[in-house]
Amino acid sequence: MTQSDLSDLSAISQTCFIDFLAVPFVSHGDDVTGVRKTLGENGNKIHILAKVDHLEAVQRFNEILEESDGAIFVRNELQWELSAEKLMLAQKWAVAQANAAAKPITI
Amino acid sequence: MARVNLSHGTQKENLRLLNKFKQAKRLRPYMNCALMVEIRGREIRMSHNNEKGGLLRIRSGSTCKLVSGQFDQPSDASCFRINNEDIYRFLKPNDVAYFDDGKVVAIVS
Repeated sequence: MTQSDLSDLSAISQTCFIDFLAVPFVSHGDDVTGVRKTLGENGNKIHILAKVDHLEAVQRFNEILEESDGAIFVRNELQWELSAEKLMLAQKWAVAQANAAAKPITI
Repeated sequence: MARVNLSHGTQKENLRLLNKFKQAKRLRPYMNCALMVEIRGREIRMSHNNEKGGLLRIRSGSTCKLVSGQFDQPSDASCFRINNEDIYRFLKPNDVAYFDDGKVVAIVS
């Protein structure tokens, strides 16, 4: 998370309660753990959804899913790194993994 | 669920939007609506340009430079001024870079 993100979240948390936080550019599980640490005690009720938007995130999907509360599979970003057939297979695989882990995933 | 992407708009505009969401929820106490906020993350933005309509025309095969530290100056077709100073650590020759959601594809030389 950048300073700008922290500033935005701090301002928002004074207005509304955030139920879900979508985190883009997640490359591995430590990225999600880092976000959780940054949110601290006050943010422990916020569910973190990792955005799977590049190839490395797909390759390390299980590790990312383990640390997060759910995932968002971003087809329009992944289309630049995966062919249509592979994208379809990756999507099906990711949904199966998320279902097995009983975590939500959106496409 | 209501989804608010903080990549779009300023902090002030986003807060105004969230206040409207709060008002809407208050008017409908019988309805549940969760809030999802999407942070910007490590975005890379290009500075403004002085072209008509804000559109830069880039010819296929042309060469352009990526420059950081001059975000207050306008970009043009030969020079993209970006707001990220770390990107050079990650780019290597022959890497493929995408601009504007993939509309422009460039190869790092």
